[in-house]
Amino acid sequence: MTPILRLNGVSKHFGGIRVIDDVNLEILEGERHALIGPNGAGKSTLFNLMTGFYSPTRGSIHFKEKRIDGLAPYKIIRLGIARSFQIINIFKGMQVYENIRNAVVAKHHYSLMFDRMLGSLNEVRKETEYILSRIHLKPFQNELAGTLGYGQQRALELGLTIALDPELVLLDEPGAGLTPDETREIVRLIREVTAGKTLVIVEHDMDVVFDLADRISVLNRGTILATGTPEEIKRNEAVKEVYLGSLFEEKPLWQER
Amino acid sequence: MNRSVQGAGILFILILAVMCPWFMGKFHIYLLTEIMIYSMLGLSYYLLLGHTGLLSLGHAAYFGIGGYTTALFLHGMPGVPVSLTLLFGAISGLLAGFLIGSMVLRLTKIYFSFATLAFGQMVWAIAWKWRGLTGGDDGLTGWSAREFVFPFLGRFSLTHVTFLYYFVLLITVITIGVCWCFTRTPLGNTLAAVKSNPTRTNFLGININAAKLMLFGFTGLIAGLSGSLFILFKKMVAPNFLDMFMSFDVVVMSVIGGYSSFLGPIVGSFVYVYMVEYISAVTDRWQLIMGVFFMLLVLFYPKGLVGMFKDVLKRRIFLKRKVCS
Repeated sequence: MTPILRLNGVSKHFGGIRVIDDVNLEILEGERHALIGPNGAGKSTLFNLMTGFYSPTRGSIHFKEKRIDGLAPYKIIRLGIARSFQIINIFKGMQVYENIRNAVVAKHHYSLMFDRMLGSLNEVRKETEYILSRIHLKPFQNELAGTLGYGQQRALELGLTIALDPELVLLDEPGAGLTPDETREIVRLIREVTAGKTLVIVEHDMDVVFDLADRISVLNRGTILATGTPEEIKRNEAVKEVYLGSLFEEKPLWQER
Repeated sequence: MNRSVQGAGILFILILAVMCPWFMGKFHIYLLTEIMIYSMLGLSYYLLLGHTGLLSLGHAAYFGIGGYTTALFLHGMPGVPVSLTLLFGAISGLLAGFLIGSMVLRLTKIYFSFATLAFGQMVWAIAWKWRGLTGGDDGLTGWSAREFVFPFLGRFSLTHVTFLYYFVLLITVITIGVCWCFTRTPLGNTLAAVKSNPTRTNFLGININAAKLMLFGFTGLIAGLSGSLFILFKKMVAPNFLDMFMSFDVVVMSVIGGYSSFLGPIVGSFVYVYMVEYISAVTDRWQLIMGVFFMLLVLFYPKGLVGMFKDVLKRRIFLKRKVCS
């Protein structure tokens, strides 16, 4: 398989702090790739570099052989990358329907059109309704997004991302703050709506990661510690030491006492 | 409110507006004409502040540029038809919007507001200092002999109060309709999204600066057109048509009516013009009274008069429901 996204020696420094240090990473087309690591490892920064929120201090990022580092976020998104946010980032003051419609209009490049009324665009209406039914928010379509429950806002966040119909989906902790039941539901939803797409996901819930991912990259202090299949990562000594150790010990510590 | 009630309300106001000259004196017709011109200016400002969330403090610049352009054509080129000079005024507002917009839109928040204020003052300084072109603080005047020439309808003098009222009414109705439609186009929706959450809008793949620039052009066009009408109405143009106090007046009118509602600037300009007229007839200290009124409104009803009206209406409906159940 060919890489759809390629990071070559990417570094990001904030003043003297090297948040990302010489990262080489290839995301293969069609795979589900999880990005894990301790807090402050640079996972979100890496996402922000991939989507143009920051531009790298050194190195290059290629999406389908096109260099994208330094491009404005909206240009990168238009090439076929979409992302969700760790902290819920939706149009809270707008209706759920309007939220998804914003994304659908953007996908069709209609956002700057002013010679037609928005209500007259039938394909936009149909597609918006389709997305709403996929994320199971159709019954709430006339509610203000800010009044939805937390789990539903997470689903809407996911909906805004997939409504753009991207080739590469970047999800930044889609399960953050959810109950175990809600997490199961959102994982099922992610599996469903990202079928046939390439997925990069940052997640702290190891059950989710090992259940969902084809390959995993472990990030620590701004560098890639290891990349491999879930089995390889579980066995990796270095990974155990910095991150997974306590999770995969044969016996929990409290039993040894 | 359902649609038929809204439609009936709009129709009623329209008929009332058409009939006004039959039962009102010249004085009120004059004031109403001024109110309609301010409404258009306020409406273009609503699109910036209420709809997109951009606090511009130099909005009078486009108003004045439109006015000066029309005045220059009326003053210096007697051969150009009056209606064409209005078109030139509107287009100059559009170009000014694009030009100033392209320079201030890289800024956000308070920096944006102050940049617009600075550009507004720059335009004012040009109007004030470039005596050869603009007449300096004397301004430009002396075209009251000009006439509107319409095919089939005949000629109308610019000094004809009733004619000017109907002419301005026509343009105002068209402008309100166009602005209302604008907010319902994909571009208008995008601008509402920018107000709601600019980061998310950007990460949907939307070039928000391009959207804002187009908005600047559009509001410049409307403001320029209203400025052109204003100088036809006042029969002169002077630097105080585009100074910062004019810009602040626009903000005050918007806030009085309710800056976040479409009808706000229209109601606001109505209340503002009449209040100034009547209070200044009683006392020279009218600004003191206006100031107190403005502060009270901001403190207790930041949503303005339209917001107040909506709240009252909601409460009435709520009470009715309670009685029913």
